[in-house]
Amino acid sequence: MRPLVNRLTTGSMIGIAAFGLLNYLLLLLGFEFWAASLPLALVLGFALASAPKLNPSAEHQACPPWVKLICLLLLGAVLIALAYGSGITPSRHWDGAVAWELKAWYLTLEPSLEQDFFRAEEVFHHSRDYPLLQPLCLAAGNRLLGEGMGRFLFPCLYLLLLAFLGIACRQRCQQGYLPWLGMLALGLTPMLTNPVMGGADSGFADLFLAVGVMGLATGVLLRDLPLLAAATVVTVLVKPEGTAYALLPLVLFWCREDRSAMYVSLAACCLGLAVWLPLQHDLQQLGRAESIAIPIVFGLMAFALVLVLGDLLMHRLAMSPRGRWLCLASLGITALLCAPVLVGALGNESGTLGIYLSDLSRPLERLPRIPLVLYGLIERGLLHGRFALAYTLLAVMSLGILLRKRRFSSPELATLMLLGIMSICMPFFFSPEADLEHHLRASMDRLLLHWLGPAFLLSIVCIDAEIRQAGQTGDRAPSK
Amino acid sequence: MKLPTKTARWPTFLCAILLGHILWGSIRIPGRVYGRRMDNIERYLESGAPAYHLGNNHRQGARIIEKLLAETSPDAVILWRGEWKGCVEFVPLLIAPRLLVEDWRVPADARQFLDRPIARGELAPGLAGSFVLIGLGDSLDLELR
Repeated sequence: MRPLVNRLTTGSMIGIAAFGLLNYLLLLLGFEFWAASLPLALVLGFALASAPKLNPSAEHQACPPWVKLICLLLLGAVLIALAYGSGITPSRHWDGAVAWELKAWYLTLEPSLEQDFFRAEEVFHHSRDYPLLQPLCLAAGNRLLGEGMGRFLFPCLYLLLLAFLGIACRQRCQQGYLPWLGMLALGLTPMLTNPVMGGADSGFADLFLAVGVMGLATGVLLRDLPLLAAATVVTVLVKPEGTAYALLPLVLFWCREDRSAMYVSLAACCLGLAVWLPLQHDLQQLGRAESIAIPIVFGLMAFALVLVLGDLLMHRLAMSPRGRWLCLASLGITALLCAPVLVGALGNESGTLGIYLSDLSRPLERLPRIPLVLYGLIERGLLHGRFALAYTLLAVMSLGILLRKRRFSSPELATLMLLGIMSICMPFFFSPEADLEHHLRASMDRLLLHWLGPAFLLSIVCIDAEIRQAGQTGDRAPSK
Repeated sequence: MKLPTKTARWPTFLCAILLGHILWGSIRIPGRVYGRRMDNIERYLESGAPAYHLGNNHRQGARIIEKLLAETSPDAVILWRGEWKGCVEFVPLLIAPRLLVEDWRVPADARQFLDRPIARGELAPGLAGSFVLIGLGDSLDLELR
């Protein structure tokens, strides 16, 4: 059986995914959302996560109790601050207040989209077609536990983020202290703990997305397919960027010819998109246009068929992984060229998808921006202090591995991380925001936050491998 | 660049960066994690949401919001025009459950919209009409229609 913490974390992810799918469907069909389904879905998640685990844990040494104590004290101190900051006031920061919390407020008042705030075109509604998973969770908490209690979602998400790192490292690391140090390091990252936009109690949906991405990374590292499926659904349902992130494990498994993982990833992506895209259309069209659920389902089936047949063809041709990457890249470019037609078909020209994908000349014109975007990435990730030494550690460790011509101890996770870093650069080419400096300042920190968990996970797993290797060569490993 | 290979120096160096990160995060707990957060919370609780969001160096308009909250019914719609970016983005949250509706979409002589009363009041004695909130980016103004 899975250890208790593992079962709780994976069960939470499965529960949140089930809650999201069910309530997106209810809203899509014109029903009220069902607040009580949140605890029920969590219980269901815990039950499903009780299935026997797939991978045996790595043999690991025990962590010294004093290390655990220090970690628990420091993380406890941060958690208390975050829980207090979450519960004592509504959101005190921009997007949290103007977008996410307001939706939750109206859904708490009336658990339906059939109200003027969502349905009247004349009413000012910030980010009208944004995903509703976070507002639904907040509203469910408020309705079940009382006004403002929904915001305790944020400390729970913070704990979930740390727990995923802990369980993944515990499974893969030999050094018993590394999972604890990893959780402590992640939990103390200033971007999460400071009272800033994107911080854990800021009310932004970036923490939720970071948890989803962490679930993806953990699922990929441990090849935990139920977790991977649940995290994929959550990532799609929580924020617009999530759709792009959820496709990354699919790309990875397709290129590595890992069939079962690819099918799970593909099914979860299609399931998430099958409820999210019609709901996005419904929100954008104020519930007035005919539902596009059936065309979307057929479209997703065609997408799945192309990938499955493509995989079989590549297999038949005995294509190398490099050949598969090239094929998929060309398929991706073709899909991108079709994007304006797709956006038009979805009726989302003025929505989130539309403003990014309707003009494909924009990314081409912005190719000269590549050095500036890369500089922005380095500046915000390494030099600005919001992430302290988190990305410095990842960069130094990766450089060390590459310069010594070694292999990452988890090439799947390293590839996912690389794809993730590439994906967070994309908005700066596709966004209508012309002022790059402003866009970098406003968005890069939050985009980097989404991948903070996987960055630590990869770093910790690689450090463990380095220590093991140094130990095998007869040298002294630290803290042994 | 020559890196130490097959020794424990490299993993020790990586662990040192990890510990450096932990130290960096730890020393911020009293000042940033607690101090600044408590300052923010205190300011929010003392001044209220309108003044917290729209009564600072970057955004102005709290008094207008407080006037609207005091003088209009909770089911009213409040008309607005101007720049949507900036202060106006905060208004729907601050005036909820009142709804913010674009001025040009409402007929000039209308007293109701979406089955709700249009917010009316006085800007000065004898100067009454429907309120129209004006978005000016980093501030708000209030006019009558």
